[in-house]
Amino acid sequence: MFSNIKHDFARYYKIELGNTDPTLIRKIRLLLKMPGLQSILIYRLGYWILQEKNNVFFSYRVMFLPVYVLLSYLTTKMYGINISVRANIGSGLYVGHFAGIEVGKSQIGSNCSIHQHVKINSKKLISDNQQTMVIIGNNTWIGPHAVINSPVTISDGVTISSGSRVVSNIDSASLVMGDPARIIRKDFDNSLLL
Amino acid sequence: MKIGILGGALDSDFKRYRNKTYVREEIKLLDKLFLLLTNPGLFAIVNHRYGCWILSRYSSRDLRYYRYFFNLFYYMGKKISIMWGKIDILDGLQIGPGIFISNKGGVFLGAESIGSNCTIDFAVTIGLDHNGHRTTLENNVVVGNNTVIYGKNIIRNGCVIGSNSVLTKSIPEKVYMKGNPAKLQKNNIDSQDFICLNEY
Repeated sequence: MFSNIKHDFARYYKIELGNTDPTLIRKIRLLLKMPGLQSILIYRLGYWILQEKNNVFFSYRVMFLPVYVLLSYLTTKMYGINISVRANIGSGLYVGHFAGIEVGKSQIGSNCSIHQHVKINSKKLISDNQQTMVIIGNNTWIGPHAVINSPVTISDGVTISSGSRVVSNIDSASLVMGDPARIIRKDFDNSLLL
Repeated sequence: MKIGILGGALDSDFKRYRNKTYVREEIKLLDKLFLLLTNPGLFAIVNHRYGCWILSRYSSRDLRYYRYFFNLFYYMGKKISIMWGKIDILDGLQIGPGIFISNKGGVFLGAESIGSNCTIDFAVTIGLDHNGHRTTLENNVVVGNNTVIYGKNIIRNGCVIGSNSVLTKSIPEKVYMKGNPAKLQKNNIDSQDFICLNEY
């Protein structure tokens, strides 16, 4: 949990301040200013509580559960950022703006960026053979108003442009765009965006 | 164009919001307070114009302590408009008189400048691209819901951008664009026909 949070803060320092080691006052101001950072911290708390679901009643972590429920309700109502604990998110997530973000049951890699009005959700399918979860790789940049609702696999280093609706699997390091999303360019380097 | 809290821009803003609720023809002070406390979109605009007024009036270095003091209320109002209406407007953005932002919120305005009598629906992003360029909106533009506009382009007078569209190019006057990517649907339209204030 704590190594993940450290990486999250490092992403925010790099993008918002352009500085790898800012002063303490700047860190506190950043935490108060960014709703995304607050909601990520609350999600990490909830995931830390509920990851051992089988022996959760024997664990001391369940003491923090009311705190998590209250805080996650507040972020959902105030900022419109709803990151479910059923999502398994790697370290170094960056949430840029605040409204209309829904991250449901999914698996997201490390070093990803999510922007406003992004919907990531997995539908429940009837047949057992099919994949039922959205899987997103490392170093993925998801632009504003993008929708990923069908169970697809997105590989590492993919750039999903703003307003696109992803319906099919995407190979690594490609740029996708449109509704439904098509591959515009292969071997697209998104290191400047992240 | 001079922006100010006394410049008459606020009166035309209040007039845009008057149509929805039961307010008299001549807007009195109590009506203004009623409109301000019932419309989160209007609250965000008024707060933004207050911030612009501080920037223009106390811009010099000698008056910086006045600026810090009045900016406290501006940032408090900005936090309220983020939590209440989910509306975020860039600091110091030039907005012409008579803008209407939907009360449903989710609006991010990061344009270069916005002209007069624009109408913006809910869940709209007008922002910068990865090169740092911003969009310019001219007068009488109508932007539909769930729309993204970004890049170095100019939206000319009287354009209408439909819902669920993504626009990245400059467009001429009085056209109706829709789709992802946005395509030309109709020429020579009147943008005022597309506004239906009862539905916002």
